Amino acid sequence: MKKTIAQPLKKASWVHELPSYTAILDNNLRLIEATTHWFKHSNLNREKALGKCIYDLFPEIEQSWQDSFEYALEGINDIKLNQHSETNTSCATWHLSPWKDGYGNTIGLVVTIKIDKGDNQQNTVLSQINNLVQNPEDEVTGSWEYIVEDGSMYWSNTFLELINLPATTHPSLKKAISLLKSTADRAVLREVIRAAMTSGKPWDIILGVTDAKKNLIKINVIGRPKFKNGKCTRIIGVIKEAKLNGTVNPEAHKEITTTTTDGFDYFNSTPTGLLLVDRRTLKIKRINNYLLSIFGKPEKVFLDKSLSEFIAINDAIRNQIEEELKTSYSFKNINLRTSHEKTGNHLFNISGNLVKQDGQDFLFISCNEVPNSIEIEKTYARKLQKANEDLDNMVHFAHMVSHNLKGHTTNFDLLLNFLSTETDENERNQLTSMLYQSTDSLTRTTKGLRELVAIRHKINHIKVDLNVNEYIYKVIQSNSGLLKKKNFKIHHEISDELTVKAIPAYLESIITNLVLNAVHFVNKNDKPLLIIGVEDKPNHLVLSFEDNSFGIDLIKEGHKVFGLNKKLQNMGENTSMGLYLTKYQIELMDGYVKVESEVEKGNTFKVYFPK
Amino acid sequence: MLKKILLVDDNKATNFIHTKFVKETNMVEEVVAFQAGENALDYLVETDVFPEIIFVDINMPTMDAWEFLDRFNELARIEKENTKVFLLTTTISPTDEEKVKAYPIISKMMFKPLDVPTFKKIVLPFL
Repeated sequence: MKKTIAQPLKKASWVHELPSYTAILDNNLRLIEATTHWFKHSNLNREKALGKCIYDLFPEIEQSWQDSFEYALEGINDIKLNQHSETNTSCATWHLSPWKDGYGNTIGLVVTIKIDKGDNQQNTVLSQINNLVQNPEDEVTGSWEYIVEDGSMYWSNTFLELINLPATTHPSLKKAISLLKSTADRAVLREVIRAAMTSGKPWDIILGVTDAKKNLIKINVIGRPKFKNGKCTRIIGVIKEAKLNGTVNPEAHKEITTTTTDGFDYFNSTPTGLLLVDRRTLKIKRINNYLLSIFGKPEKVFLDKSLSEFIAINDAIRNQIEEELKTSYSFKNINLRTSHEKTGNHLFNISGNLVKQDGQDFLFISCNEVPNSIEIEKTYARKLQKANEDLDNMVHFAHMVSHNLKGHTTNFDLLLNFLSTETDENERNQLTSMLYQSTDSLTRTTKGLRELVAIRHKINHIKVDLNVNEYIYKVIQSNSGLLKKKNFKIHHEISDELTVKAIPAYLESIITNLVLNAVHFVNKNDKPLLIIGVEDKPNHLVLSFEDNSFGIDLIKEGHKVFGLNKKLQNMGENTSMGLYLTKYQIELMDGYVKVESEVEKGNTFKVYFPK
Repeated sequence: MLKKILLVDDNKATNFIHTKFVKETNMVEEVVAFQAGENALDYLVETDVFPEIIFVDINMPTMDAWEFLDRFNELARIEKENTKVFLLTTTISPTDEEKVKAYPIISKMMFKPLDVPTFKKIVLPFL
C-alpha cells in the first residue's frame, strides 16, 4: 500500500490549536464572519464578502474541494485541503470542521487556514511524510460518489490507490461490490446502500476487499446519502484502510470517542444498557441509567469496579472478545450472566466497540437483557405440552365423532335392511326396539359433540369476575327437579362476595357437570350430599365439590375419570362425559382439575381457577 | 362347525347385527354377546365351552378392549391358548395400532360392522 501521497490528513488536536485565520460559514456555505487575518490572507473585502457563498468568493475551488465541504457539513471533522498559490511561494492548508449548536446539530462550517511559506512548506510536507512513516496508524482517505439517477460512480485517485486498482479502472457500483471478498460483506454493502437511499441512514462499516494483487484488505467504508426534494439523488463517502493489528488508529478512535462524549445525554437516556469499560483492567468507567435501573443500584456501586466482579467473564470469553477486537475493533452477541448480590441474576447479550480516549483503550459495551433462558425453555415446554394435549384432544375428538357417528349410521342402515325383509312379528318388534335405542344413543352422541363444539366456540371469550354463588344458585335451580327426585342436598358456605375469574359459559358448565356427576354417582345411603367449598391459594381460587358417594377406585380407574365417554364403577348408566368437559373447559381457562377419592367414602373434585 | 363365538361390544345394535350375520354363516354353533367386558369375563370364567373366537370392540366406556385383554390373559383357563381375538373399531387410531403389537393374542384389527362373507372368511381356518 502506497502512503507517500499527502492526502487530507486528519489531526486530532486542531481545536486546541485554533489559528487566527478563521471563517465561519452557514449551512449553504455563505460567509457569516471571519477574522481579519482571514480576510487579509484571502484578499477579500469584509463588507462585500459577507453573505456570499464560498464558491463565489473562491471560483478556483475545484470539485474535489466541493466534496470536502459536503463531507464537513455531514459532520466529518477537520478536513484539510492544500491550497497552492501560483503567484507566490506560500502555501496554505484549509481546515474544515462542522460548526455545531448546543444540541449537536450542524449549523455551518468553521474554516481555518494555516499558512506555510517557502522552506516551511517543504518542511511541512516532509514532516507529513515523516509522520506517515513514523506513525503507520495515520491514514489515507479516498473519496467516492454514487449518482443514483444514472447509477454512475466517481472514485478518487486515492480510492484507486488504496485498493491497488489501476487509474484506468471504470468505477461502478457493480465493480465496487465485486471487489468485496465475502458474500456476507456484499450483502452488508447492498443493505447499507438500500437503507441509506430509503431512510437516509448513513453508514460506517468495515469490509474485506480483494485488491488487484488478490490481497485481502480491510477497508473502512463511510457513506452518507444526499436527498433532493425528498429523493435520494446521490451518496457520497470515503474509504480508508482499517487497521487490523489490534492497535487502533487514534483518529478513528477520536471520532468514536467524540461521538460518545457528545452523546452523553444519549448515553444516559438510551433504552438499552451501556457501559464504558477500561479495556486493560475491565474497570467500569461509566454505566448508563438504563443499566442502573435494571440493577436498581446507584452508579457508585459500579464505578471503578472490575466488570468481572458483576459478570461471569472467563478466560475463554475474554480471549474471544480480544480476538474479535483485533479483527474488527468490536465484538458482537456474547451472552453473559450476572450473578452478583448487587446485580441479581440477569442474562445479557453484549456487543462492544473499541474506543480510544487520551491514548487509552476503552470498550463501549451495549448490554441487552435476554429473558431468562430457563424460563423461556419452561414456557416453550408448557406450550408444547399444551399443544400436544390439544392435538391429542383433537385426534380423540375426531375418533370419537368418527367412531360414534359411523357406528350409528351403519347400524341404522343394517337394521332398516333387516326390517324391510323380516316377516316375523317378534323379530320386527325387536328390530324396531333396536332402532329406537340406536336413535337415543345417536342423540346422546350428537349432544356431546354439540357441547364440545360450543366450548370451542367460546374459547375466545374473555374471562371476567363472576359471582360464584350466583352460578351455584343458577345450576341448582336448573336441576331442581332431578335433585328433588334423588333427595339430593347441596350445602355450601361460600361468601356472597366471592368472585372467580372465568368465562361465564364455562363456569356454569363446570358447576353443572360436577353437580350432576355427584348426583349420578351411586350413593351408599339415602341422604346423598354435595358440599361445595372454596380455598384461596396464592395463585388459584379452588372450588371443591365433595360428595358422599361410593367413590372411585383411583388405582384401578383413575386413568378413566376424565376420559371421553368412559364408564366408571358406581357411575350407574352415565359416562364420564361431564368430567371430560369439566377438564377440557378449566384447561382452556389455564386452570386444572384434580380428583381425590376413597372407595365407600366419596369423591372430591377440586377445580383450580387461575387468579 | 365352530363351537362358540363371543361378541363384546357396548353397542347393543352392533351385537344384534353381528349375531345375525354369524348365524347366517351356518358355521358356528353358538354366538354369545355382551355389552360390558366385565360381564364377558365373568362368563368366560364360568362357561364350559370356551369360545374359539372373540370379537371385542376397542372403545367401550366401562372397560375398553385393552383392559379386557389384560384381564383375559389373567384368566385361569387353559382353553384360552386356542382362542383368537379380533378387535373391532370404526376408526383405527395410531395408538391402537401401536398397542396391538403388545398383544400376540390379537389376530387382527378390523372395521365394524362385519358382514357375512367376512365372518365366513374368519371362521373357515378354525374348522
